[in-house]
Amino acid sequence: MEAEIKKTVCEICLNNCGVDAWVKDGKVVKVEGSRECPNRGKLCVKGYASRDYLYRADRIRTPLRRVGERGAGKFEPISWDEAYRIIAEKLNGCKREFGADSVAFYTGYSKWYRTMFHRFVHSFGTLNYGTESSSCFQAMRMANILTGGSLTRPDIANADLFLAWAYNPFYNSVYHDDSLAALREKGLKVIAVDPRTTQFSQRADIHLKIKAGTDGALALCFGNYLIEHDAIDHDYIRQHVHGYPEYRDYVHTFTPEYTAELTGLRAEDIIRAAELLVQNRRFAISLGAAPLTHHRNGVQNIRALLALSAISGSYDRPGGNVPTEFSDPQMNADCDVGDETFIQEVRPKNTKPKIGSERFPVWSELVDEFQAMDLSRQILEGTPYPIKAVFALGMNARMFPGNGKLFEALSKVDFFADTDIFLTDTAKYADIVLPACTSFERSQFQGGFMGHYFNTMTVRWLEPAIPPLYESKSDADILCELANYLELDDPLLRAGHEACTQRMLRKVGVTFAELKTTSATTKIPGKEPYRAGDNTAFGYATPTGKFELTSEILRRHGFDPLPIYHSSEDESDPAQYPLKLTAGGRLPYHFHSRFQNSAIKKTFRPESMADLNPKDARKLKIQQGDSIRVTTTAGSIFLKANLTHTVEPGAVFIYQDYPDADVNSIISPEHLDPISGFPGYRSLRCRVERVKEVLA
Amino acid sequence: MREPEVLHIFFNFHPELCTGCGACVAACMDEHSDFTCCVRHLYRQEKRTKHGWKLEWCSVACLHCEASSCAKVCPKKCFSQDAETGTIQLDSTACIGCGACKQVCPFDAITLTADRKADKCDGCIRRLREGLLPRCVDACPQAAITIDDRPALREKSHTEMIDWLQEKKAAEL
Repeated sequence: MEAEIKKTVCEICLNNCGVDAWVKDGKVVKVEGSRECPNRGKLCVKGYASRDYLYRADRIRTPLRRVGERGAGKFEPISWDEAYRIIAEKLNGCKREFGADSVAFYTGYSKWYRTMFHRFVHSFGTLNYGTESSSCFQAMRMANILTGGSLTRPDIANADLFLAWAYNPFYNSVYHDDSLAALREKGLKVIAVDPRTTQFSQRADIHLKIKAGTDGALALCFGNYLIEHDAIDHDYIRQHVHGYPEYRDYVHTFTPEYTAELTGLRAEDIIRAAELLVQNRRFAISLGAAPLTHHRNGVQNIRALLALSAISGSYDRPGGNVPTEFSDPQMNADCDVGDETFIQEVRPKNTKPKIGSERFPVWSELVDEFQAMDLSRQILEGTPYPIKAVFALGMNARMFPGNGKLFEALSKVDFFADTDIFLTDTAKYADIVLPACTSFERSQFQGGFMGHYFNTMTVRWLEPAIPPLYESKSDADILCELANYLELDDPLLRAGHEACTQRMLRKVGVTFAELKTTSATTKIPGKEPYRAGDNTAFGYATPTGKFELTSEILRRHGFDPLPIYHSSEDESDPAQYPLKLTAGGRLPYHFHSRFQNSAIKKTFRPESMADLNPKDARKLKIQQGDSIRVTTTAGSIFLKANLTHTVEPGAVFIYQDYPDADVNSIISPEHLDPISGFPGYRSLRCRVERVKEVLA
Repeated sequence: MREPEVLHIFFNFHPELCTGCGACVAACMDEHSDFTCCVRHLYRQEKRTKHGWKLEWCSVACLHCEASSCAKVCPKKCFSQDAETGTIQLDSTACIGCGACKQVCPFDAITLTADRKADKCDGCIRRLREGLLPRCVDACPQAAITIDDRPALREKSHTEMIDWLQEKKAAEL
């Protein structure tokens, strides 16, 4: 039989790149990018490795029941019926005895089923729905909402200048860059702000190689420079900005010289970049969902960036930072494709406050999820109320900072069920493990393509390219089937994924029958992207209706309302911990826990390595490939040294996804941004020493 | 080796465009090897410049070069030039794993597999015959890998790559 091309998507990360899967005798024999999708026939290194991902030996094959200690990884296969029965009995038992809020529902990757899962949690009767967005994206969204009332996207296509803050389009989102290259030919200028040298920063007009986490100081300095050079929009500020006089007085101290001290930059380079801003006031700023938020001052740093957009008059105007409808990372659509109603129509009443409400009140007010950074504490301390069971999809406990604190918590709960593609270290703690399939093996209702960057107002229905491997199932099917075993009072959810899709489509105006006839995307009829200027005309969704340089929500919760700057480092002794550790960055061939046993990891960087500047290495008598110990106040890890000039002296960069040298394990769980609850993965003090050999 | 009768395919590489994303390597593995080994390699080098240091990448596999030293030294005559495409083909059935080809290749483009057989890029010859681009060329989002038949460019490109690899080796020593 000849190979046949089946249309699917790659969902290893969240970009939904279109994939042509070449299928022969029920097996995927080759993958290529779909030419008609925004990725235009390309995939990234991860996507091209899809077949390795799909057919890897550590795929979970059947539902499993734990027979050994939690974490030991000893399981016996059981039937789906038995697994569902056990889960239903335990979860309903907790609900009967302690109430629905005693169960925490959590999802790591993927994202596509989250609308279904959120409804599932509501139908179960609790608001305790949490996701990995507790350390990604949401803090950036919060900073936007606190300031301008809406998430924004940089309208690079209409800008004169792109302030590429923490931006590298080459290592994922492969389709971001070629549009940028075309714009640069037409005259778009680019300032890259990045603590590392990357292939992108090398191509920028100016690269500001800033100390990680000091972004807010640089932004405040730019603000000061724009004010001093009268490069601000007085009319816009008068009519639409709240708190300008306080802001003006505050930024006054951020002179180029003082900012140079804080950021490690040279004053003349800061001025050169600021001058470019003065000359090109129609500028768009990338706001980085993770790199800018993983600091103790993360939310305020991003607010300081947004302030530039407002005072220069580029906010909500073409070429500036423009509000976007994309509200939650549920469907990855650019607009609400019926998700909100679908989730909220079964919202439970009379629930307890969700996990983390006391500790992270701003998060709890702005985000319809619990802040998962408080999950392990609440499980271990039992306050304000006990959590008895955790039901998770794709949970990665290594994402959480702290030396195994969540693992400890997961071994204390009465019941833990996890669903995953691979038998991860987290899944090994579960009482019941359910095998999920990949995007190639399931049908899917797809919103858009990495939504808000592209304004693709489309919907799409995809059929499986191949049947599910082994006994694995689609996450959406698992949720709907489990809803039946739980006897949830939700006939729609119990009717299955297709029925739910049909309901959501009501709001979209495309019928399911129409959608099923094609694997191509269908434009949502009558749906137009947000028009720049609408929010300014109608008023922003903030307490004052204006762009809030002083946030009234932050003031109400006792935080400084100005986008103030504080160092994001921890307070440990600089003499003992002279270097600065930045974790949380990604290598192109890694994504969360998904590539720990992959062929491409073995090909590119089989061992965990710390990027270290040769100057520091010389002082520490460390050579390329030497075994080293990296120590913070929270502990040590052992790994190899990688000497590189791409990082500045004084900085150490370590990457995720190496369980034998888990950098998150040496980050204190208390080292976080009090506004968002986001861990400060990217700025803390450390010490590096050469060791004779790696101790096991 | 005789002149090819039709278009002779040469692989070229444009280091200034490469971002080190690794898509070429993974696409090659998808096409060629079921992810067990790879005949394409990605190298990284930091070079001193007037203003500091410059990060450069180089993606290397067999360039199907004119010199074809591999073919000349192989005691078992495993290498041949395909008449239609001009690509250098390797049939390792008779390979004794002596490694002579690996040693003479200036691009270090020949690997020895676990069972000590020589392996290298076949230029995606099946795709070429169907009028498709080789996978690495198709996969590169920056068009850093190209194929063409212009002798001047290929010589320059090949010499540059040899220099680049030697510079990297020297820097590591």
